Amino acid sequence: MGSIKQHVGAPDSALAREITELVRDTETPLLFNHSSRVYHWGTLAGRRRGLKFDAELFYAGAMFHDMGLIPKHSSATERFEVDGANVARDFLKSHGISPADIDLVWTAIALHTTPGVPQHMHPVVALVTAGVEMDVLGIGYGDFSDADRAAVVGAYPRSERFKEDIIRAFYDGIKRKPDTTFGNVKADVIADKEPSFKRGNFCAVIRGSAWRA
Amino acid sequence: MNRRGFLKASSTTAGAIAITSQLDKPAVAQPAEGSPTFRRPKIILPVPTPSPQFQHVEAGVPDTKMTREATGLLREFSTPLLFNHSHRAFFWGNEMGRQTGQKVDVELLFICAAFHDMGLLKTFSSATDRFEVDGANAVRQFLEHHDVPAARIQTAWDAISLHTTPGIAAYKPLEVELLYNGVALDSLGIGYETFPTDVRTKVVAQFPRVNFKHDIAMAFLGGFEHKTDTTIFTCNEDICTHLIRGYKRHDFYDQVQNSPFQNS
Repeated sequence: MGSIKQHVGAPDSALAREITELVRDTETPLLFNHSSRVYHWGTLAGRRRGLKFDAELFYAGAMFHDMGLIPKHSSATERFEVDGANVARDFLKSHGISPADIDLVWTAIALHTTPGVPQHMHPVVALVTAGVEMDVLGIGYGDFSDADRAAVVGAYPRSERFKEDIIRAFYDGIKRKPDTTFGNVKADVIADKEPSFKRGNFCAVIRGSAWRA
Repeated sequence: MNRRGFLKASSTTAGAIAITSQLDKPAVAQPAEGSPTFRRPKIILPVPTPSPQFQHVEAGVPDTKMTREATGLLREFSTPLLFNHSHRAFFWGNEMGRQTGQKVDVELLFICAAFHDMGLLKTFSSATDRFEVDGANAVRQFLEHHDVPAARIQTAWDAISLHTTPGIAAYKPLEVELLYNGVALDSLGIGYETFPTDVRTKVVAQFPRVNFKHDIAMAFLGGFEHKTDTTIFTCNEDICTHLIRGYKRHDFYDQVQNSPFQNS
């Protein structure tokens, strides 16, 4: 196994270093390492597909994508994905990044749990979701070489019980606002932790609406 | 910060990259194109031109070449159920837009409403993509054919592809939010109590809800019965669970646990 730098490595710029420090200081090691792996999986996947994208913007998207799980960034009513997107937006705005580029990063983070849409969008958007799906769900696992996987996990370890730990981190980040999980994967997380949780159901909402027919 | 002001100010182009890093490898075979931010499907399903006799708008719909054609597409290729649903969704969104006091691209909002469920129809349905994405790709083709600028096309693409994704539309251009809210009112009754009764009564009289709650569920099913994988982890999967005998819903917890990563 070579060093992580031979495989990808975080972007070498002042902005990227600031992002690294901010996320490391704000998030748990679990989420920091997860986000760092997401950056690497996404970058490797993007190279494999021949996609052109800006490494710094993508780094911002990957590193900030779970910021909305952290109490100090968690709003009362918005989805955690949107909270994270807003943290990235404010950070990038204060660093003079253009509105169009900020919008890309915002969308990448806001849609990172929405299946089937990001892959049709800009590489920055598509690859944040691809990286998250690889790290959390193992989607595309076989497309990565053993060497790449070992290097990335070696540099940013998966905790001993990562699968359980990440589910717990999701739960802790959203349990105060279960309504934000309607129609998305996070409802499964609450259902797993709270046996009495009654998930919102699309058909039931249609049938129960105020409309007579 | 005014989030809408912020997002309205941002253009939808991918934008030039200000800082390149050593890691930003040159593209292998990617054309260096700017806008817009969506990518083209590999297989293009051609959007037909409706026959002239179908190309006239309903009362209250802005009368332009594009709205006449979009209405014609609905009339010729869609169903009475979706024709009425799409029109109601437009009128709900239009009224909500009026209430904001902001400038609304009413022509685009109508086209978004007309196309939002087109992906449920065989003519526009791909083998592998979500029906929302099929509708978004159809509207892109339609708008490109009419030489509409990229920013409006992006708004329409986002509006349709995200019309079943909760919690996002409010941060996108106003028309994205209005389509989402219009569809949510018509399908789910969200905002029913606060919506003006007179407008509601008038529009439903013009575009009746006939056994709508049942029939819209069946229309959804018909739109993705052949590709139920596209509904996983979306609200559409509830339709599969209810209406397909023996359908086993996917569980995010299980999928995390069963990923190929060993032990952790």
